[in-house]
Amino acid sequence: MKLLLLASLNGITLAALYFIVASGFTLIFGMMRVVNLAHGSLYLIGAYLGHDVAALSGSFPLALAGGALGAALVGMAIHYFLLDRYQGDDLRQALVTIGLSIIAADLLLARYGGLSYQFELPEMFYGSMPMPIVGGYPIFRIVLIGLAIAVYLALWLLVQRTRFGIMIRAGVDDRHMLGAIGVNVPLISTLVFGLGAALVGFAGVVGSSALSIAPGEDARYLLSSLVVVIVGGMGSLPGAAIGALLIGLAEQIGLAYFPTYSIILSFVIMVAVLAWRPYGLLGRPA
Amino acid sequence: MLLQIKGLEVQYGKSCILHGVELELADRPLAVVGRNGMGKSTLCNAIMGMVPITAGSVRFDACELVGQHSYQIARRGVALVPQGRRIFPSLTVEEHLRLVERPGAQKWTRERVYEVFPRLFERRRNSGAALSGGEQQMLAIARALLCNPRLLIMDEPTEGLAPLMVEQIVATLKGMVAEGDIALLLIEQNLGVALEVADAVAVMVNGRIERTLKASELAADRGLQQRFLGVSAGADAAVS
Repeated sequence: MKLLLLASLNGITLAALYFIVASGFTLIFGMMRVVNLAHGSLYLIGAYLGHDVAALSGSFPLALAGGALGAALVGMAIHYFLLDRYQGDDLRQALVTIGLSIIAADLLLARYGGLSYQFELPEMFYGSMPMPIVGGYPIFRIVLIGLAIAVYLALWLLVQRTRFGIMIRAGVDDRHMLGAIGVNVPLISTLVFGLGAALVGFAGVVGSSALSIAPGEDARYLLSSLVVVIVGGMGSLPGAAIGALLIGLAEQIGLAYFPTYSIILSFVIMVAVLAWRPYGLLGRPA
Repeated sequence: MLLQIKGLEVQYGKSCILHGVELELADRPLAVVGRNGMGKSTLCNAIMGMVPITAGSVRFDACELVGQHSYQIARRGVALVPQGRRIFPSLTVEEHLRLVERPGAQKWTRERVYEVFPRLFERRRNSGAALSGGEQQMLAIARALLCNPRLLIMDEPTEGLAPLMVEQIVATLKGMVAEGDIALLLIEQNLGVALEVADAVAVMVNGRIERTLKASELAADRGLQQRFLGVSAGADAAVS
Protein backbone atom coordinates (compact mmCIF):
# COMPACT_ATOMS: atom_id res chain seq x y z
CA MET A 1 0.00 0.00 0.00
CA LYS A 2 2.75 2.40 0.95
CA LEU A 3 4.70 1.51 -2.18
CA LEU A 4 1.67 2.02 -4.42
CA LEU A 5 0.87 5.38 -2.86
CA LEU A 6 4.45 6.56 -3.08
CA ALA A 7 4.74 5.43 -6.70
CA SER A 8 1.48 7.23 -7.48
CA LEU A 9 2.69 10.44 -5.85
CA ASN A 10 5.93 10.23 -7.81
CA GLY A 11 3.90 9.53 -10.93
CA ILE A 12 1.79 12.64 -10.38
CA THR A 13 4.92 14.74 -9.79
CA LEU A 14 6.47 13.45 -12.99
CA ALA A 15 3.14 14.03 -14.76
CA ALA A 16 3.19 17.64 -13.57
CA LEU A 17 6.60 18.14 -15.15
CA TYR A 18 5.58 16.31 -18.33
CA PHE A 19 2.48 18.46 -18.54
CA ILE A 20 4.37 21.75 -18.38
CA VAL A 21 6.78 20.52 -21.07
CA ALA A 22 3.98 19.10 -23.22
CA SER A 23 1.69 22.14 -22.83
CA GLY A 24 4.27 24.15 -24.78
CA PHE A 25 4.47 21.36 -27.32
CA THR A 26 0.69 21.17 -27.72
CA LEU A 27 0.55 24.93 -28.38
CA ILE A 28 3.29 24.76 -31.02
CA PHE A 29 2.65 21.41 -32.65
CA GLY A 30 -0.97 20.69 -31.78
CA MET A 31 -2.46 24.13 -32.31
CA MET A 32 -0.17 26.04 -34.66
CA ARG A 33 0.83 22.87 -36.58
CA VAL A 34 4.51 23.81 -36.52
CA VAL A 35 6.69 20.71 -36.30
CA ASN A 36 9.37 21.44 -33.72
CA LEU A 37 11.67 18.56 -32.93
CA ALA A 38 14.00 20.97 -31.14
CA HIS A 39 11.50 21.20 -28.25
CA GLY A 40 13.82 19.14 -26.02
CA SER A 41 16.72 21.46 -26.86
CA LEU A 42 14.65 24.42 -25.67
CA TYR A 43 14.12 22.50 -22.41
CA LEU A 44 17.88 22.12 -21.96
CA ILE A 45 18.57 25.74 -22.95
CA GLY A 46 16.02 26.91 -20.37
CA ALA A 47 17.53 24.65 -17.71
CA TYR A 48 21.14 25.74 -18.29
CA LEU A 49 20.24 29.43 -18.58
CA GLY A 50 18.23 29.15 -15.37
CA HIS A 51 21.23 27.55 -13.73
CA ASP A 52 23.48 30.42 -14.84
CA VAL A 53 21.02 33.04 -13.62
CA ALA A 54 20.71 31.25 -10.27
CA ALA A 55 24.51 31.03 -9.96
CA LEU A 56 24.84 34.77 -10.66
CA SER A 57 21.91 36.12 -8.70
CA GLY A 58 21.20 33.40 -6.16
CA SER A 59 17.49 33.85 -6.75
CA PHE A 60 15.22 30.97 -7.73
CA PRO A 61 12.35 33.12 -9.10
CA LEU A 62 14.88 35.00 -11.27
CA ALA A 63 16.22 31.66 -12.51
CA LEU A 64 12.68 30.62 -13.49
CA ALA A 65 12.12 33.90 -15.33
CA GLY A 66 15.56 33.74 -16.99
CA GLY A 67 15.08 30.18 -18.22
CA ALA A 68 11.62 30.94 -19.60
CA LEU A 69 12.66 34.22 -21.24
CA GLY A 70 15.86 32.79 -22.74
CA ALA A 71 14.05 29.79 -24.24
CA ALA A 72 11.29 32.11 -25.54
CA LEU A 73 13.79 34.37 -27.34
CA VAL A 74 15.65 31.42 -28.87
CA GLY A 75 12.33 29.85 -29.88
CA MET A 76 11.00 33.02 -31.49
CA ALA A 77 14.23 33.46 -33.43
CA ILE A 78 14.02 29.86 -34.69
CA HIS A 79 10.41 30.36 -35.75
CA TYR A 80 10.92 33.78 -37.34
CA PHE A 81 14.09 33.01 -39.28
CA LEU A 82 13.76 29.30 -40.07
CA LEU A 83 10.32 27.77 -39.59
CA ASP A 84 7.67 30.30 -40.64
CA ARG A 85 8.73 30.19 -44.29
CA TYR A 86 8.07 26.44 -44.34
CA GLN A 87 4.61 26.66 -42.76
CA GLY A 88 2.64 23.59 -43.88
CA ASP A 89 5.78 21.79 -45.07
CA ASP A 90 6.09 19.29 -42.20
CA LEU A 91 9.04 17.34 -43.53
CA ARG A 92 11.25 20.41 -43.97
CA GLN A 93 10.34 21.75 -40.53
CA ALA A 94 11.18 18.34 -39.05
CA LEU A 95 14.57 18.22 -40.78
CA VAL A 96 15.48 21.81 -39.89
CA THR A 97 14.59 21.30 -36.22
CA ILE A 98 16.37 17.93 -35.96
CA GLY A 99 19.46 19.67 -37.34
CA LEU A 100 19.05 22.49 -34.84
CA SER A 101 18.69 20.08 -31.94
CA ILE A 102 21.96 18.33 -32.88
CA ILE A 103 23.77 21.68 -33.11
CA ALA A 104 22.26 22.87 -29.81
CA ALA A 105 23.22 19.64 -28.02
CA ASP A 106 26.86 20.00 -29.09
CA LEU A 107 27.03 23.70 -28.26
CA LEU A 108 25.61 23.03 -24.79
CA LEU A 109 28.03 20.15 -24.28
CA ALA A 110 30.93 22.45 -25.22
CA ARG A 111 29.75 25.18 -22.86
CA TYR A 112 28.57 23.16 -19.85
CA GLY A 113 30.39 19.84 -20.16
CA GLY A 114 28.94 16.40 -19.61
CA LEU A 115 28.44 16.52 -15.85
CA SER A 116 25.00 16.84 -14.37
CA TYR A 117 24.01 20.00 -12.54
CA GLN A 118 21.56 20.55 -9.76
CA PHE A 119 19.93 23.66 -8.40
CA GLU A 120 20.30 25.14 -4.98
CA LEU A 121 16.68 25.55 -3.99
CA PRO A 122 15.40 28.23 -1.61
CA GLU A 123 15.38 27.06 2.00
CA MET A 124 11.57 26.91 2.22
CA PHE A 125 11.36 24.22 -0.49
CA TYR A 126 13.55 21.76 1.40
CA GLY A 127 12.16 19.32 3.89
CA SER A 128 9.06 17.21 3.66
CA MET A 129 5.40 17.60 4.25
CA PRO A 130 3.82 15.14 6.71
CA MET A 131 1.36 12.77 5.04
CA PRO A 132 -0.64 9.74 6.13
CA ILE A 133 0.59 6.24 5.18
CA VAL A 134 3.77 7.35 3.33
CA GLY A 135 4.96 9.44 6.28
CA GLY A 136 6.20 12.48 4.39
CA TYR A 137 6.68 13.83 0.89
CA PRO A 138 9.20 16.44 -0.36
CA ILE A 139 7.69 19.92 -0.35
CA PHE A 140 9.25 20.85 -3.69
CA ARG A 141 7.41 18.04 -5.43
CA ILE A 142 4.11 19.32 -4.04
CA VAL A 143 5.07 22.80 -5.31
CA LEU A 144 5.73 21.25 -8.72
CA ILE A 145 2.20 19.85 -8.85
CA GLY A 146 0.86 23.28 -7.87
CA LEU A 147 2.88 24.92 -10.64
CA ALA A 148 1.46 22.52 -13.24
CA ILE A 149 -2.09 23.32 -12.11
CA ALA A 150 -1.32 27.05 -12.27
CA VAL A 151 0.08 26.67 -15.81
CA TYR A 152 -3.03 24.75 -16.84
CA LEU A 153 -5.40 27.41 -15.49
CA ALA A 154 -3.40 30.30 -16.95
CA LEU A 155 -3.27 28.71 -20.39
CA TRP A 156 -6.95 27.83 -20.28
CA LEU A 157 -7.87 31.42 -19.42
CA LEU A 158 -5.54 32.75 -22.12
CA VAL A 159 -6.97 30.54 -24.86
CA GLN A 160 -10.65 30.76 -23.84
CA ARG A 161 -11.02 34.25 -22.46
CA THR A 162 -8.65 36.70 -24.16
CA ARG A 163 -8.59 38.27 -27.62
CA PHE A 164 -5.16 36.71 -28.19
CA GLY A 165 -6.69 33.31 -27.38
CA ILE A 166 -9.50 33.95 -29.87
CA MET A 167 -6.83 34.67 -32.48
CA ILE A 168 -5.02 31.42 -31.65
CA ARG A 169 -8.20 29.36 -32.01
CA ALA A 170 -9.22 31.15 -35.22
CA GLY A 171 -5.73 30.57 -36.63
CA VAL A 172 -6.04 26.86 -35.90
CA ASP A 173 -9.37 26.80 -37.79
CA ASP A 174 -8.42 28.84 -40.85
CA ARG A 175 -5.10 30.64 -40.99
CA HIS A 176 -5.71 32.36 -44.32
CA MET A 177 -9.11 33.72 -43.35
CA LEU A 178 -7.66 35.08 -40.12
CA GLY A 179 -5.15 37.06 -42.20
CA ALA A 180 -7.94 38.33 -44.46
CA ILE A 181 -9.65 40.06 -41.51
CA GLY A 182 -6.53 42.02 -40.70
CA VAL A 183 -4.74 39.87 -38.13
CA ASN A 184 -0.97 39.69 -38.53
CA VAL A 185 -0.80 35.89 -38.61
CA PRO A 186 3.00 35.51 -38.91
CA LEU A 187 3.42 37.70 -35.81
CA ILE A 188 0.79 35.74 -33.86
CA SER A 189 2.48 32.45 -34.85
CA THR A 190 5.87 33.68 -33.68
CA LEU A 191 4.37 34.89 -30.38
CA VAL A 192 2.60 31.56 -29.79
CA PHE A 193 5.82 29.73 -30.61
CA GLY A 194 7.59 31.98 -28.11
CA LEU A 195 4.96 31.20 -25.46
CA GLY A 196 5.38 27.46 -26.04
CA ALA A 197 9.16 27.85 -25.82
CA ALA A 198 8.82 29.91 -22.61
CA LEU A 199 6.76 27.12 -21.06
CA VAL A 200 9.34 24.46 -21.90
CA GLY A 201 12.17 26.72 -20.70
CA PHE A 202 10.28 27.23 -17.44
CA ALA A 203 9.81 23.45 -17.23
CA GLY A 204 13.56 23.06 -17.78
CA VAL A 205 14.35 25.10 -14.66
CA VAL A 206 11.65 23.38 -12.60
CA GLY A 207 12.60 19.93 -13.86
CA SER A 208 16.29 20.35 -13.21
CA SER A 209 15.50 21.51 -9.67
CA ALA A 210 13.40 18.43 -8.98
CA LEU A 211 15.78 16.10 -10.86
CA SER A 212 18.98 17.25 -12.56
CA ILE A 213 20.27 18.71 -15.85
CA ALA A 214 22.53 16.67 -18.09
CA PRO A 215 23.14 16.13 -21.80
CA GLY A 216 20.57 13.71 -23.22
CA GLU A 217 17.65 15.14 -21.27
CA ASP A 218 16.62 16.97 -24.45
CA ALA A 219 15.79 13.74 -26.28
CA ARG A 220 14.02 12.35 -23.24
CA TYR A 221 11.66 15.33 -22.89
CA LEU A 222 11.04 15.58 -26.63
CA LEU A 223 10.00 11.94 -26.60
CA SER A 224 7.80 12.30 -23.54
CA SER A 225 6.11 15.40 -25.07
CA LEU A 226 5.42 13.55 -28.29
CA VAL A 227 3.92 10.59 -26.42
CA VAL A 228 1.86 12.82 -24.10
CA VAL A 229 0.46 14.95 -26.94
CA ILE A 230 -0.26 11.94 -29.16
CA VAL A 231 -2.03 10.08 -26.33
CA GLY A 232 -3.98 13.15 -25.17
CA GLY A 233 -4.87 14.46 -28.62
CA MET A 234 -3.15 17.15 -30.67
CA GLY A 235 -3.93 20.71 -29.64
CA SER A 236 -6.06 19.80 -26.64
CA LEU A 237 -5.01 21.27 -23.30
CA PRO A 238 -7.09 18.87 -21.15
CA GLY A 239 -5.79 16.10 -23.44
CA ALA A 240 -2.20 17.04 -22.62
CA ALA A 241 -3.05 16.97 -18.89
CA ILE A 242 -4.66 13.53 -19.12
CA GLY A 243 -1.86 12.23 -21.34
CA ALA A 244 0.78 13.50 -18.91
CA LEU A 245 -0.99 11.85 -15.96
CA LEU A 246 -1.28 8.51 -17.77
CA ILE A 247 2.34 8.45 -18.89
CA GLY A 248 3.75 9.77 -15.60
CA LEU A 249 1.81 7.26 -13.51
CA ALA A 250 2.61 4.38 -15.87
CA GLU A 251 6.33 5.12 -15.72
CA GLN A 252 6.53 5.38 -11.92
CA ILE A 253 4.17 2.51 -11.06
CA GLY A 254 5.89 0.37 -13.69
CA LEU A 255 9.27 1.25 -12.19
CA ALA A 256 8.06 0.19 -8.72
CA TYR A 257 6.43 -3.11 -9.64
CA PHE A 258 8.09 -4.46 -12.78
CA PRO A 259 11.24 -2.41 -13.39
CA THR A 260 12.46 -4.57 -16.29
CA TYR A 261 9.49 -3.80 -18.50
CA SER A 262 8.53 -0.34 -17.25
CA ILE A 263 10.28 1.32 -20.17
CA ILE A 264 7.87 -0.14 -22.71
CA LEU A 265 4.74 0.64 -20.70
CA SER A 266 4.35 4.20 -22.09
CA PHE A 267 4.54 2.90 -25.62
CA VAL A 268 2.05 0.13 -24.92
CA ILE A 269 -0.34 2.84 -23.71
CA MET A 270 0.34 4.91 -26.82
CA VAL A 271 -0.28 1.99 -29.16
CA ALA A 272 -3.47 1.02 -27.30
CA VAL A 273 -4.83 4.59 -27.41
CA LEU A 274 -4.01 4.98 -31.10
CA ALA A 275 -5.70 1.67 -31.91
CA TRP A 276 -8.81 2.74 -30.02
CA ARG A 277 -8.84 6.48 -30.81
CA PRO A 278 -6.54 7.38 -33.70
CA TYR A 279 -6.66 11.13 -32.89
CA GLY A 280 -5.79 10.67 -29.21
CA LEU A 281 -8.11 10.68 -26.21
CA LEU A 282 -9.46 14.22 -26.65
CA GLY A 283 -8.21 14.95 -30.17
CA ARG A 284 -10.25 15.92 -33.19
CA PRO A 285 -9.51 15.01 -36.79
CA ALA A 286 -7.41 17.78 -38.33
CA MET B 1 -10.39 54.81 -59.46
CA LEU B 2 -10.63 52.88 -56.19
CA LEU B 3 -9.59 49.49 -57.55
CA GLN B 4 -7.59 49.00 -60.73
CA ILE B 5 -6.50 45.54 -61.84
CA LYS B 6 -4.12 45.16 -64.78
CA GLY B 7 -2.87 41.99 -66.47
CA LEU B 8 -3.47 39.86 -63.39
CA GLU B 9 -2.24 36.28 -63.74
CA VAL B 10 -2.52 33.40 -61.27
CA GLN B 11 -1.20 29.88 -61.75
CA TYR B 12 -1.69 26.79 -59.63
CA GLY B 13 1.16 24.48 -60.56
CA LYS B 14 1.05 24.28 -64.33
CA SER B 15 -2.56 25.27 -64.83
CA CYS B 16 -3.29 28.91 -65.46
CA ILE B 17 -6.43 30.11 -63.65
CA LEU B 18 -6.33 33.84 -64.39
CA HIS B 19 -4.64 35.12 -67.50
CA GLY B 20 -4.61 38.83 -67.78
CA VAL B 21 -7.61 40.11 -65.84
CA GLU B 22 -8.37 43.80 -66.44
CA LEU B 23 -10.93 45.34 -64.12
CA GLU B 24 -11.77 48.77 -62.79
CA LEU B 25 -14.07 49.73 -59.99
CA ALA B 26 -14.99 53.23 -58.83
CA ASP B 27 -17.72 54.02 -56.32
CA ARG B 28 -20.60 52.23 -57.98
CA PRO B 29 -21.15 48.53 -57.23
CA LEU B 30 -19.79 46.12 -59.80
CA ALA B 31 -20.83 42.51 -60.25
CA VAL B 32 -18.65 39.82 -61.78
CA VAL B 33 -20.63 36.98 -63.33
CA GLY B 34 -19.61 33.88 -65.21
CA ARG B 35 -20.01 30.13 -65.27
CA ASN B 36 -18.39 27.77 -62.79
CA GLY B 37 -14.63 27.37 -62.99
CA MET B 38 -13.98 30.63 -64.84
CA GLY B 39 -11.75 31.96 -62.05
CA LYS B 40 -14.11 34.25 -60.16
CA SER B 41 -13.18 33.03 -56.68
CA THR B 42 -9.50 32.99 -57.58
CA LEU B 43 -9.86 36.67 -58.55
CA CYS B 44 -11.25 37.49 -55.09
CA ASN B 45 -8.53 35.54 -53.31
CA ALA B 46 -5.86 37.15 -55.48
CA ILE B 47 -7.03 40.68 -54.62
CA MET B 48 -7.02 39.69 -50.94
CA GLY B 49 -3.48 38.30 -51.16
CA MET B 50 -4.56 34.76 -50.34
CA VAL B 51 -3.14 33.10 -53.46
CA PRO B 52 0.29 33.67 -55.03
CA ILE B 53 0.16 36.06 -58.00
CA THR B 54 2.30 35.27 -61.04
CA ALA B 55 2.10 38.63 -62.83
CA GLY B 56 0.13 41.83 -63.05
CA SER B 57 -0.90 44.61 -60.76
CA VAL B 58 -3.72 45.33 -58.31
CA ARG B 59 -3.89 48.97 -57.30
CA PHE B 60 -6.20 49.97 -54.49
CA ASP B 61 -6.57 53.67 -53.83
CA ALA B 62 -3.29 54.29 -55.71
CA CYS B 63 -1.40 51.71 -53.68
CA GLU B 64 -0.03 48.42 -55.04
CA LEU B 65 -1.47 45.36 -53.30
CA VAL B 66 0.47 42.63 -55.12
CA GLY B 67 3.21 41.29 -52.83
CA GLN B 68 1.55 42.44 -49.61
CA HIS B 69 0.35 40.09 -46.86
CA SER B 70 -3.42 39.67 -46.67
CA TYR B 71 -3.49 41.29 -43.22
CA GLN B 72 -1.86 44.40 -44.71
CA ILE B 73 -4.41 44.44 -47.53
CA ALA B 74 -7.22 44.07 -44.98
CA ARG B 75 -5.83 46.96 -42.94
CA ARG B 76 -5.78 49.16 -46.05
CA GLY B 77 -9.56 48.77 -46.20
CA VAL B 78 -10.39 45.70 -48.27
CA ALA B 79 -12.67 43.08 -46.72
CA LEU B 80 -13.75 39.72 -48.08
CA VAL B 81 -16.89 37.66 -47.58
CA PRO B 82 -15.43 34.44 -48.95
CA GLN B 83 -17.07 31.65 -50.85
CA GLY B 84 -18.34 29.00 -48.45
CA ARG B 85 -18.42 31.67 -45.68
CA ARG B 86 -15.33 30.28 -43.90
CA ILE B 87 -16.67 30.90 -40.40
CA PHE B 88 -14.30 29.81 -37.61
CA PRO B 89 -15.99 26.70 -36.13
CA SER B 90 -14.31 26.97 -32.72
CA LEU B 91 -15.36 30.59 -32.08
CA THR B 92 -18.75 31.80 -30.90
CA VAL B 93 -20.61 34.50 -32.82
CA GLU B 94 -19.62 37.04 -30.18
CA GLU B 95 -15.96 36.00 -30.40
CA HIS B 96 -15.97 36.45 -34.19
CA LEU B 97 -17.09 40.02 -33.71
CA ARG B 98 -14.70 40.71 -30.82
CA LEU B 99 -11.88 39.47 -33.02
CA VAL B 100 -12.44 42.03 -35.77
CA GLU B 101 -13.83 44.96 -33.80
CA ARG B 102 -11.44 47.91 -33.89
CA PRO B 103 -11.20 50.26 -30.93
CA GLY B 104 -12.37 53.86 -31.23
CA ALA B 105 -15.28 55.52 -32.99
CA GLN B 106 -16.09 53.50 -36.10
CA LYS B 107 -19.00 53.44 -38.47
CA TRP B 108 -19.59 49.73 -37.89
CA THR B 109 -19.56 48.51 -34.30
CA ARG B 110 -20.73 45.33 -32.61
CA GLU B 111 -23.93 47.11 -31.50
CA ARG B 112 -24.75 48.27 -35.02
CA VAL B 113 -24.11 44.79 -36.45
CA TYR B 114 -26.52 43.33 -33.89
CA GLU B 115 -29.11 45.97 -34.88
CA VAL B 116 -28.84 45.04 -38.55
CA PHE B 117 -28.76 41.29 -37.85
CA PRO B 118 -30.88 40.70 -34.71
CA ARG B 119 -30.64 36.96 -35.34
CA LEU B 120 -26.89 37.11 -34.65
CA PHE B 121 -27.60 38.71 -31.28
CA GLU B 122 -29.90 35.82 -30.37
CA ARG B 123 -27.21 33.34 -31.40
CA ARG B 124 -24.24 35.25 -29.96
CA ARG B 125 -23.20 32.47 -27.58
CA ASN B 126 -23.42 29.71 -30.19
CA SER B 127 -20.35 28.39 -31.92
CA GLY B 128 -19.81 29.08 -35.61
CA ALA B 129 -20.22 25.39 -36.36
CA ALA B 130 -23.76 25.37 -34.89
CA LEU B 131 -25.15 28.09 -37.19
CA SER B 132 -27.41 27.54 -40.20
CA GLY B 133 -26.18 28.50 -43.67
CA GLY B 134 -28.08 31.80 -43.59
CA GLU B 135 -26.81 32.68 -40.11
CA GLN B 136 -23.26 31.85 -41.18
CA GLN B 137 -23.66 34.17 -44.14
CA MET B 138 -24.91 36.99 -41.89
CA LEU B 139 -21.93 36.40 -39.62
CA ALA B 140 -19.50 36.42 -42.56
CA ILE B 141 -20.98 39.75 -43.73
CA ALA B 142 -20.93 41.15 -40.18
CA ARG B 143 -17.30 40.06 -39.77
CA ALA B 144 -16.35 41.87 -42.99
CA LEU B 145 -18.32 45.02 -42.12
CA LEU B 146 -16.69 45.29 -38.69
CA CYS B 147 -13.35 45.67 -40.49
CA ASN B 148 -14.90 48.98 -41.65
CA PRO B 149 -13.71 48.47 -45.22
CA ARG B 150 -13.76 50.93 -48.10
CA LEU B 151 -14.06 48.02 -50.54
CA LEU B 152 -16.14 44.96 -49.77
CA ILE B 153 -15.61 41.85 -51.92
CA MET B 154 -18.41 39.31 -51.71
CA ASP B 155 -17.88 35.90 -53.25
CA GLU B 156 -21.24 34.28 -53.98
CA PRO B 157 -23.05 35.48 -50.86
CA THR B 158 -26.37 33.89 -51.84
CA GLU B 159 -24.98 30.45 -52.71
CA GLY B 160 -27.01 27.67 -51.14
CA LEU B 161 -29.41 29.96 -49.27
CA ALA B 162 -33.21 29.73 -49.10
CA PRO B 163 -35.06 32.30 -51.28
CA LEU B 164 -36.27 34.26 -48.25
CA MET B 165 -32.70 34.55 -46.97
CA VAL B 166 -31.49 35.61 -50.43
CA GLU B 167 -34.03 38.44 -50.34
CA GLN B 168 -32.79 39.57 -46.94
CA ILE B 169 -29.16 39.54 -48.07
CA VAL B 170 -30.07 41.51 -51.21
CA ALA B 171 -31.92 44.07 -49.08
CA THR B 172 -28.89 44.43 -46.80
CA LEU B 173 -26.56 44.90 -49.77
CA LYS B 174 -28.84 47.50 -51.35
CA GLY B 175 -29.03 49.39 -48.08
CA MET B 176 -25.25 49.38 -47.85
CA VAL B 177 -24.88 50.58 -51.43
CA ALA B 178 -27.42 53.35 -50.85
CA GLU B 179 -25.42 54.61 -47.88
CA GLY B 180 -22.58 54.97 -50.33
CA ASP B 181 -19.43 54.74 -48.22
CA ILE B 182 -18.52 51.16 -49.06
CA ALA B 183 -17.68 50.15 -52.63
CA LEU B 184 -18.90 46.70 -53.55
CA LEU B 185 -17.39 44.02 -55.77
CA LEU B 186 -19.97 41.26 -55.98
CA ILE B 187 -19.24 37.84 -57.42
CA GLU B 188 -22.52 36.14 -58.20
CA GLN B 189 -23.80 33.05 -60.02
CA ASN B 190 -27.35 34.21 -59.48
CA LEU B 191 -27.79 36.72 -62.30
CA GLY B 192 -31.01 38.07 -60.80
CA VAL B 193 -29.17 39.11 -57.62
CA ALA B 194 -26.23 40.56 -59.57
CA LEU B 195 -28.51 42.71 -61.75
CA GLU B 196 -30.56 43.90 -58.80
CA VAL B 197 -27.62 45.05 -56.70
CA ALA B 198 -24.98 46.21 -59.18
CA ASP B 199 -24.92 49.03 -61.74
CA ALA B 200 -22.34 47.41 -63.99
CA VAL B 201 -21.59 43.77 -64.73
CA ALA B 202 -18.29 42.25 -65.80
CA VAL B 203 -18.51 38.89 -67.53
CA MET B 204 -15.70 36.47 -66.81
CA VAL B 205 -14.80 33.75 -69.30
CA ASN B 206 -11.80 31.42 -68.99
CA GLY B 207 -9.77 33.55 -66.59
CA ARG B 208 -10.36 36.84 -68.40
CA ILE B 209 -12.88 39.65 -68.20
CA GLU B 210 -14.62 39.18 -71.53
CA ARG B 211 -16.73 42.29 -71.38
CA THR B 212 -18.04 44.92 -68.97
CA LEU B 213 -21.47 46.36 -69.54
CA LYS B 214 -24.33 48.16 -67.81
CA ALA B 215 -26.56 45.93 -65.72
CA SER B 216 -29.65 47.17 -67.58
CA GLU B 217 -28.00 46.27 -70.88
CA LEU B 218 -27.31 42.69 -69.84
CA ALA B 219 -30.76 42.38 -68.25
CA ALA B 220 -32.40 43.30 -71.54
CA ASP B 221 -30.33 41.09 -73.81
CA ARG B 222 -31.20 37.42 -73.63
CA GLY B 223 -28.72 36.62 -76.39
CA LEU B 224 -25.80 37.99 -74.39
CA GLN B 225 -26.91 36.12 -71.27
CA GLN B 226 -27.16 32.93 -73.25
CA ARG B 227 -23.75 33.45 -74.81
CA PHE B 228 -21.77 34.33 -71.69
CA LEU B 229 -23.61 32.43 -69.00
CA GLY B 230 -25.75 29.80 -70.65
CA VAL B 231 -28.62 30.96 -68.46
CA SER B 232 -30.91 33.92 -68.30
CA ALA B 233 -32.30 36.02 -65.49
CA GLY B 234 -35.87 34.87 -66.07
CA ALA B 235 -37.19 31.38 -65.75
CA ASP B 236 -38.27 31.41 -69.39
CA ALA B 237 -34.78 31.05 -70.84
CA ALA B 238 -35.90 28.23 -73.09
CA VAL B 239 -38.26 30.53 -75.04
CA SER B 240 -35.45 32.18 -76.98
